[in-house]
Parts: sequence; C-alpha cells; structure tokens
Amino acid sequence: MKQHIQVTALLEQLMGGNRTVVDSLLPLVYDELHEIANRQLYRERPGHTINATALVHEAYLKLVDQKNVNWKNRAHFFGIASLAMRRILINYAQKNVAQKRGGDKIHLTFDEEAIPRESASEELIILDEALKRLEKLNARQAKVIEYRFFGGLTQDEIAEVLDVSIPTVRRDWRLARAWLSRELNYYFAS
Amino acid sequence: MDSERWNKIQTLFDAALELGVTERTVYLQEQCSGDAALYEEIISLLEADSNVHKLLEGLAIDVIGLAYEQQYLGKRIGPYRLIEHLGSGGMSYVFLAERDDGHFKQRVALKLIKRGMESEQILQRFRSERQILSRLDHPNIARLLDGGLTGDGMPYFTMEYVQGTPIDQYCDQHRLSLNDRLALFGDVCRAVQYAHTNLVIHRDLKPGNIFVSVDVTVKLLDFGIAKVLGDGQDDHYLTRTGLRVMTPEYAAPEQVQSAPVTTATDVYALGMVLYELLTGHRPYTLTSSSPAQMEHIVCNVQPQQPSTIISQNRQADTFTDLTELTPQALAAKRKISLPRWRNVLRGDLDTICLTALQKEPQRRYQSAEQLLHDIVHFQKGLPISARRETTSYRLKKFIQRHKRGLLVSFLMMLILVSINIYYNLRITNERDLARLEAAKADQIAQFLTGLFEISDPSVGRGESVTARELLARGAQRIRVELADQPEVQATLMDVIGNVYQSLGLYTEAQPLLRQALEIRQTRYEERHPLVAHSLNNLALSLQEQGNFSESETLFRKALQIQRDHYGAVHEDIAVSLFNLAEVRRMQGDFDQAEQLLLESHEMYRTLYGEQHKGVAETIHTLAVLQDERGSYDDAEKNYRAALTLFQNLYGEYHPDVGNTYNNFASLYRHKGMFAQAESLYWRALDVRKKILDADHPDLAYTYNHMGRLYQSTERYAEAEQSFREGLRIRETALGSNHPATTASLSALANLFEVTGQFQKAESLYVETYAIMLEVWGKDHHYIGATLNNIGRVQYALKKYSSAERYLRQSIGQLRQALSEDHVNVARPMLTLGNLLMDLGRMEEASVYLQSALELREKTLPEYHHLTESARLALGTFYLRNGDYERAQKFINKAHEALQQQFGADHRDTRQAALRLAELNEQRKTNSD
Repeated sequence: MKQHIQVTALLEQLMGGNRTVVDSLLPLVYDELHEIANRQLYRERPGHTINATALVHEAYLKLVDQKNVNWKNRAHFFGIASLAMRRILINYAQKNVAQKRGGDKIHLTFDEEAIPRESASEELIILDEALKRLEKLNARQAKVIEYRFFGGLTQDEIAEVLDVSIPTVRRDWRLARAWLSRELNYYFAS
Repeated sequence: MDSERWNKIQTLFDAALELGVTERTVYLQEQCSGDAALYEEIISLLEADSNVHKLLEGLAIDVIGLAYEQQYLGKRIGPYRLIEHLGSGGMSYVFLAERDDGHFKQRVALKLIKRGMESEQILQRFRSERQILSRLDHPNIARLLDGGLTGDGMPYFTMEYVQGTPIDQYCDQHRLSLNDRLALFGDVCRAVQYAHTNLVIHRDLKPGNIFVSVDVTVKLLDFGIAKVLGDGQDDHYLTRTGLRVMTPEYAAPEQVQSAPVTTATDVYALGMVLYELLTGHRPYTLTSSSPAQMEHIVCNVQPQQPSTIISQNRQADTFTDLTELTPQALAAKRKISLPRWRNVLRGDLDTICLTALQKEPQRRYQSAEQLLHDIVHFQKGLPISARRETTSYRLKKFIQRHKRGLLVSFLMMLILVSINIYYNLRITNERDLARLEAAKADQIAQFLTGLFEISDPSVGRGESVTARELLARGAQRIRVELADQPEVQATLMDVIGNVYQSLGLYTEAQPLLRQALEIRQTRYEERHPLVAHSLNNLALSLQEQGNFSESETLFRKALQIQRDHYGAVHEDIAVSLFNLAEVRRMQGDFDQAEQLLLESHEMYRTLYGEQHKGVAETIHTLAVLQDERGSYDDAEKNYRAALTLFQNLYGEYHPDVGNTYNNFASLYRHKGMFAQAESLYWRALDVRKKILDADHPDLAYTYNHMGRLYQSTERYAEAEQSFREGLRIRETALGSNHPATTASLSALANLFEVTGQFQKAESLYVETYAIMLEVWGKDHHYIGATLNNIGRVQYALKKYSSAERYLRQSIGQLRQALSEDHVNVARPMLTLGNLLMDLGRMEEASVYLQSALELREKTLPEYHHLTESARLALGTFYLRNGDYERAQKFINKAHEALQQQFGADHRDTRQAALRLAELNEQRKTNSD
C-alpha cells in the first residue's frame, strides 16, 4: 500500500527533526483512527470499551511499514496519534453534549449506549479548553498531558518524542496535572 | 505569565514536594518573601496536587467507557444487585454486589466480563471448571461462588468479597520488615500449593490478585478464572495484534510464547511477587515495549539479582504515583538500612528469587511447596535446596550433551566438582561443617584447572583430547598428587568415578568409587553421610554391571547409615529406598521391590507434597514393575498418574515425560494393544526430538522399542529400519562397546531370527556375546539371555548338540545371576524342552517343559501370554506323544487365552490354532 510507505517516510522526517511534516501526517492518522474507532464502536455491541493504546496500535500496524518499525518511530507515531485522538474524542464529546441539550440532531455512527455521559463529556471539553490555556503557559507541559491523557503514551515514549529525560516528563506531568486539576476543580465548584 | 515566572513556580513546586507539610510552609515563605501572589500560587498548586481531579487519573478514552460501568450500578444481574464499582481490568469490570432474594443478604464481588470475548465458550469452560473451582476450600483463597450470563448475554462470576489491599501496597503502607513480608508470602505459597494439589493453576498471579484483608489474612483472588477466560492462550487473535489481555508484567516466558501453562507458571509468578515484595523493583521493565520486544524481554533478559537492583532508584511507572523512590526510601519502607538490606538479600534470597524466575519451567522450583521450603529454611538459617538443584541440573544437561564421549572441557569438571561440594553442603546439614567443605572448593578448582589445561586449545597443541584420555590422566594424578589430602582425593575420585559411570565405562568407574569409599571410611566416622554417599555410588555402578547381590548389600548399608544419621524420614533415605527397590526388581523380587517403592513414594509425599519429581519417579517405576510382572491394569493407572505429574511439573517437553510415554507405550505393546502403543511411541519420539539432539541415546531407546513393536505386528521392514536407526545413534553417541549398543545388536539379531535369516542372526548374536562379555563380565544375566539366543538360533539351524550346550549353559547362568526360580529361567528351559522333544528325548523334554510352565504360572499373573505359550509348548509335547486328552486340554486353554488377549490374528494365537487343527487332524486319522 502506498499509504504506509508515505506515513513511514513522513515519520522518518519527523524523527529527523522536521516538525512541519506533522501537518501532513496528522490527517492520515486522524482518518485511520477515526475509522477504527467508529468501526469498533459500531461493530461491537453496547458497552464495549476501546482501549486507547490498542486503538493507536492498530492504526500503527496499518499505517507504518512493518519492516521499518522500532520503538522510536512507534513513539513518534503515538505522539501524532495523541493529537488525532484528542480531536476525535473532543469531537464525540461535543456532539454528545449538543445532542443531550436538544441541539441539532446529529447522526451518530455508533450505538446510543456507548455515548459518553453528558457530565463526563462536559468535563472533557472543559479540560480541553484548560489545556489550550496551559499551552500558552508552557507548551511542553501541555504536550505531556496530551500524549498521556489522549494518546496513552508511556513515560519513556513521551521522553523520546519530546527529547527530554524521563524525570523531566514526570515533573512536567505533575505540575501540569496540578494546574489542570485546579482549573477543573474551580470550574465545577463554581 | 512569562516563562521565567513559570520556571520559578516549577522549581519551588518541585522542591516543596520533597518536604513535609510544615517544612513546606516555612520554606515557601522564605523563598517567596515579598511575593505573596507567588506564594499563594504554589500553595494552591500543591493543594491541587494532593486533590487531583479524577478525570486526570485515567485516560480520556476511558471517559467514554465509564458510562457503561455507571449504567449498571443499582441494576440486577441474576440474583445480585450491583452496589459499587470496585475496579476494571483489561477484560472485566468488578462490582460489589449484594444477593438479596428474600432469604438472606450476601455481599459478593461480581466480575462482569467485557464484550468482545466469546460468551458461550467462556460459559462452557466455566461449567467444566466450576466443579473443581468450587472444591477449592482454603482460608487464603477467595471462594468462587457462582457464575452465569446476564440478560444480554455477558458472562459474570461471583466471588467471596474481600475487603483489603493488594499485598505490595499493604506491605509498603505498613512498612513491613523483610521477615514479615516473607511470612505473608509463605501464606501465598501455601494457598497456591493447595490449589495445585487440587489441580487448579492460577495463571495470573500478581499483587493485584493477592489481597491482605482487613483482618490481616492473605486472600488469593480469581483462582482458575484465567483458564476460564482463555487467558490469552487460545486467543491467537489477541496475540497477533498485540492486544493481549493478560498482565504481561507478570507473565512467564511460556505464557508470552503461548506454550503450555503448568504449575511452574504459577511458581514463576510467585517469584515475581516475591522479588517485588523484597526489593520494591520488578526484575525487568516492560513499559513501552512492542509485543515482540515484550516477548524478547520476558524470554531472554536475565533478571538482576535482588541484592544489586536495590541500589537503583525505582522509576514510578504510573502517572498517578509520581514519587521517585530512592534506595533509601525503599529501605525505609522495610524498616532496614540499605547495607543491611543488601546483606540479607545476597546469597540465599537472591538464589530463591532467581530460581523461581528461571526462564525454563523445569529449572524453577518444582512446586510452590518447594519454594516455601526454601523460604522457611532461609528464615531458620538452614541451607536451601535451590543452590544444589540448579547446579545439578546443569550437570545433568552437560553430561547428556557429552555422553557421546567426545570432548570434555575442564569446565565440565569444575561444574562436577561444584556439584559435589554443594551436595556435601547439603548432606552435612550443619553450616559450619559446610563451610569447611566449601573451603576445599578452591583447592579442587585449582587442581582441576591445571589438570585439564591441555584441553584448552590455546594451551595444548590444538589436538582434541578424548574424554577417556582426560579422565585417565585425571584419575592418575588424583591418585599420586593428592595422597596427602585424602578428603579432597576422595571427593575427586567420586566425581571422576561418576563421570566414567555416565559414559558407561563401568570397569574404570568401580576402582575409583571403591577407593573413594575406603578413604572416606577411614577419614570419617563409620556412619558419616559421606560414607553412605560413596556406598550408594558404588552400589549403583555394581547394579549397572549386573552385580545385584553386592549392590543390594551396599545399598542396605547406606540406608542403615542414613537412618541412624537422619532418623526415619529424609530425602536421602527416600533415594536409597528407591535404589534398593530397583535392584530388588532386577533380581526379580517384585513384591519387595513394590513395597520399597511405596515406602519411598510415601516419604517423598511427606517431605514435598504431591507435586514433586520424587513422587512422580516412584510412581513411574512402580508402573514399570507392574508392567514387568504383568499387572497391566495397575501399571496403566500408574503410568497415567506419573505422566500427569511429570506434565504438571515440567510441561510437555521434558525428558521424563518422553520416557514415561515410551514406557507407557511398552505396556500397551506387552498387552498386545499395538495401535495404542504405536501412537504413544510416536508421542515419545516427538517429545524427545523436540528437546534432544538428533543423535541422543534416548531416541535410540524409543527406536529400539518401536522396532520390537513393528516386529510383533510383522512389519519387518519398518522394524529393521527402526533397529538400525537406534543402532546408528548408539554407535555414534556411545561407541560400539557400550551396553546399550549391544541391546540394539541383539534386537536386530532377533529380527533376523524371526524372519528366518538364521545364519545372519547367529553371527550377530555371537558378535554381541563377545562384546557383552567385555562390557558386563560373565555374571550379568544378559549373558545368560544371549546364550539362550545363540542356542535357539542354532536349534533352528539344526546344530543340535551345540545348541543344547548353549541352552544348558544359559539355564545355569541365569539361575546364578538372578535366582533359582526367576521367571527368565523359563525361557531357555522352554527352548531346550522343544529341542529335546525334536530329538526324541521325551522324558527329559517333559521335565523342562513342565518346569517352564510351572515357573511362569508361579511368577506371572493368570493368563499371561508367556504362560500361555509355555502351556502351548507342553500341549504340543503331549500331541507329539499321542496323549490327545492332555494335548486337547492344554492347547485349548492356551488358544482361548491368547485369542482373548491378542485376537485371532496374532502370531501366537495363530500358532495355537494351528496346533489345534493339527490335533483334530491326528485324532481323526487315528479314529478312522
């Protein structure tokens, strides 16, 4: 398949330090993930939960030339996938909130019961907004949250993608987590 | 906010986290003097850190999944109402549930299996396992109560609800000392052993499944559930796509490779748990690994020793627990200083952990009980068994590889010596004495290094030195150079004697073993365990050579010493009883042999419980014995039991499993159930081929047996092929003068005889006889058997007088070598009786034929086919003599019995039918 050669090549460039390829990679990964997530949610009967790591791994198997896999390009792929996952999940959450509030009837491709609870969806949206604010304060810390919370990356994968040490990842996560918790607690308390 | 300020926040936040709550305030006030906003900012972030929003404890995607668990709360599943969500794993949700059907209230843990797994199969497996699982009644095992399908078809199980904490967290929270941790872990081992004796394997042991309840009782959860769920074993789909559901951190190599899971798999997981409890570390990390990498790590990366890994920081591997644990912090959780901690772990605990964590299942502890045994011994300051086990395993492997008598490197000798030292260590049973023995280790090692330097190509001239040469040189130097150090000398003589023994060079082995014994008898007190050790070794060698009576005497002496020294029950005594049983079996005293085997068997059970190799070996040998004496039903039952035990201990691919298949097959062959026999022989061959070299002597053993099977079913071409393959292997691996090689030669000669190629048969028998005399000496009963063979084939060649001589010699030899009325003596008697009959010496003939039948009737069970063929021979004799009445009676009886046992098509049955026809013919002629 042409697609996996393209993705593999882009991934190589990304690892070589060319961040601009993210724009080319993201849509490819997004589409794939979206399709898998939809298929899984649709195919499985109600109640089947999908596991982020498994989802991303399936996309990875599909999009990256399997002769060329190694844990580093896997980490970078997972990094891109986190961005895609964030969009997908926030999208779902927004549709869900809109629907529950009697907004536009949006045709959903997955079963009713799998739809997130309204409050959880709201929380997710609040978090997403808070994360955008954190990006302005400290972009790297926001990334750590994104990779972990949306993409399910492990500490060493994040360290690889961000090119920092593992203790740094841990420090970033802790402060960012505290900061976001404060935002969320504040929002839901008031 | 600029980045400089953010950096400042970061620095102060990090630093404050390291401090206690009161120090924090002081520190921050100091650092933020004049900047109240900064102070407030950090304080509120610290507050948020200790009150993390629950959304950030999981992953975004779980928020979608959450809905599902929530929707179940308050609902009913079967008779249960779900009260609280306790947690979720990869494949299930766990709820606290209440049974309330009007009669009584019962709180249970209800495990609901996630979708995507085949509900029907799970339920089916659950039904078949339920009986066994519900039988598990142990204070440390959470009871399985019930199971079924929900209204919309999802499987669920209910279990005893355990209010408590996972064992690792419990230990850390309560800062338990190493000793307290070992005590808790001991309870875990006992529970696992209990389940194993009830034939249940957990398959997914991990701290998350081992709870310590509020009343400080260890409780194992989810016993047997992994099997019901299919535990990824047959979920190849999951393996391939890397979505495996089991907990890879605690999985054993055989699990990630989808190989059979046995009790050893649980032993491995116990090793992981013990390792973590003791050190606070996992032996290896699997985070961010691909499935292939994970498999590689689990199967290949050797765990670090517990005593060294504790010098490292522990990286928190979760995003919720972020405190980096320093060695000091981990030590504090065990109320111990770092150096002391290292000291306690070094040595025995290192060995115990790493033995449990061996990659190959058969190298681990053979049972949870054995692991427990070592833990208890460690706590009591006694020597542990693992130190010997691992070395002796290596030795066995090494000898297996070098049996072919090619090159022996000096390394082998070093291993041998260390083995012996450990052996001594163990049998002295007192640590001080053990140290003394160990002090000799260096000396011995040095000596051997010098001795075998020549086998190192960089030192020698690059020529290969054969094992025999090496050993001869070694023996010579031991005699001369170590005369002033008799204890060391005796140890080394013992070592080299045993190597000779394993190479089948009995004549070389014996003088060394004898001398070692004599030295020990003078150097140590008469009743020292080392003397018993030497007695046993010598007796084994004598037994191999067929000198049963002296062998028996020595075994008895050794046994007496051990009983005096150890009391009634001890592993060494169980070994000696087993040895004695073997020699009695070979002497044909089946009753006593059986009794001794049972005694040994019971002793192993008392010492080690059901799952032990001694238990399995004694059952196996009991089956061999019962097969030999014709108690086929008992033999079959015991072969099955032995097979199951070996499989539980080692998995499918192990020499002992292969051997049991082989002997089990022979039982069927003896019973005339040839199809069953053949398929079991193939199974034996399959197992042996998977784990052994293509030229390993064990394979020859099976080929030889298969040859006999083919011969019995008249598939002569295949028989010859099998015998020749066995012979080829033995000649390559063992040389042409090895006892086993002579067995192959005899078998081939016998095939020639049966297929009417008497000339070829005779010369091969004679050739074999010469080699046998050299190997066994003239007193081994194999000599008598070979004399019978030669006599029989010469009889067929009509060389009557020579044949008669051989047969008479055979009878005399066998009586001497075995006993006056040993069942084997009947063989040449029968042949001689037939010969004499053909020569018309009827009176003499009748004596031999009658004696042969009586002997077999006396020693074998009723209707044994050997008895029946003797009966047939006597019937034929009466027929020739014109005594039709008796002929009718004898031939009829034999025919019926043979037909019953082998069916009408068997050679022996056909022979009987032929005689019967002949009889009727003659009667008719006579009455006409």
